[in-house]
Amino acid sequence: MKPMITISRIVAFSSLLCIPLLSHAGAYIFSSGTSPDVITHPSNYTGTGGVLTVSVCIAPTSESIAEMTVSVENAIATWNQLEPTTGNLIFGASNDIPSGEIDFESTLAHELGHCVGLAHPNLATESGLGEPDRNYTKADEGPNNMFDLGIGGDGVRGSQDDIRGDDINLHWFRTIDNNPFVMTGTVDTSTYSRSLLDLPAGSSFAANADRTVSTLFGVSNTEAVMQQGQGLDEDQRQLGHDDVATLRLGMAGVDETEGTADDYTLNLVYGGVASGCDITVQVTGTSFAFCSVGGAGVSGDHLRITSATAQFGTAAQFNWYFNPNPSQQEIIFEDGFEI
Amino acid sequence: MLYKHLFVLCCFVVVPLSAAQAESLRYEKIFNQVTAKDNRLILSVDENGSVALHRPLFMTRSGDYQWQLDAQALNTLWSLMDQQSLAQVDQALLNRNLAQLKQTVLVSTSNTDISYFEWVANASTEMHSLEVEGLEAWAGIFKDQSDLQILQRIEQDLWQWINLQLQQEGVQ
Repeated sequence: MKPMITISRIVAFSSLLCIPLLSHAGAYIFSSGTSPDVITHPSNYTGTGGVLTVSVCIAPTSESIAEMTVSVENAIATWNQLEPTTGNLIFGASNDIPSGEIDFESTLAHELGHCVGLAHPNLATESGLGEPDRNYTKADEGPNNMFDLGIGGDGVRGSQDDIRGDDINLHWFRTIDNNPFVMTGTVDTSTYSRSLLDLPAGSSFAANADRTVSTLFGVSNTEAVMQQGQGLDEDQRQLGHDDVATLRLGMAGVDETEGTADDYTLNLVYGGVASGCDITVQVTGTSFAFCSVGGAGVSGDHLRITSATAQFGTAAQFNWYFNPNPSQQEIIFEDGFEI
Repeated sequence: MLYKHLFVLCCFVVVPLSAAQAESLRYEKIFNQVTAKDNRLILSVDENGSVALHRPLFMTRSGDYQWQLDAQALNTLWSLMDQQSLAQVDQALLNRNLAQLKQTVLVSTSNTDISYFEWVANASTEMHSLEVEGLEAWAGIFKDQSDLQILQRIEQDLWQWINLQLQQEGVQ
């Protein structure tokens, strides 16, 4: 017998505060307090230089295949192009995302970053901290087993004057100026470091590319794609300098020196709807979005991704906005032909 | 867009539970990666079958819902909760097992959604609770970890139950 149900539906206005999260290069998956110098490379990197091809497929069992295809192709092109930008946060009427919806392409760009080895440059939710302390730069708690969170004189979490006690920095920074919103010249360990001893004068900790930190460097509406947190009605499809620098630091190879034989360039290729790719993208389940990866050693502190699955909650449950517009960027398909 | 709707349907049946069947449930899924102030799905069911559901704005069919279950529907829900299996899951042991598993293989996930289960068992006043971060991801990685699989299955069943309830009442 069908139960008789009374429903009173109350749909209330939700005051959406897209709470702002309070290049450089950022941080890598698998780095930790005991292994702070780990650099994680994308799939298939074995220490040999050249073009590193990583295939990206949509799982045949995925939902929303037709809707998501353009976003997948666009996000692949974004990571292939590695073009750092400022002003990559586009809100409200300035973007094509309807109010109350979440941009699938922006979320995918973030998760693809995880799938190729990048971690959050901020402490994020994995720290166990609440907002806004998650905005502090990624670090290990250090010997006192607690995060030391001194905001410093500028009152901005994640900035260069933060006082972090014995926290072990895990965020690679540009040594000349500790500025995560620029990237010029060589990107390797001659110009980037994780050691706080290499900070420039005036800095007490590595600055991360959080949008509130950006204002201290004279840029606005700018944030690393890898910064944790996706807002509603927010386009963040383009990479920041921190995102690009993190990947380029890895691309300098196991000798961590740009311009040598072990350097590689990342080439994500779209494999269509198929199984067996290096990165599988699927829309399914009840979680918002994540990438799960496996890893293996390459050499010393260098690891590589061995498997990656990026999963996004179903469109039946989440108000995804699927961008229908192909970007103008070059997209290489697995058969080698461009569109 | 600001809007409020209040629909009250007549002809409901309420069958109060006996004192011996003191069961209640609270389930939450916290979507930590969404920066909206309201970022959690909340389902609560009390011992009388009163249901309250909150879906945040970024979810389909967002809003707050309240409805009443009769005894049969309530029993169906409790069976989904699989309380016998749930009662066997110990939070501390689950945490230790998960931590140990993470040490054995080089894996990582960016899933920071938190699944929270809180219930009062049948004929009891003791409240139990379980919480797992990244449940869906870790259950997918550690397929032989029985506690994770139990919780994952219950979570999936709850989501399906919610969908069915909303569909039955024509909520699009």
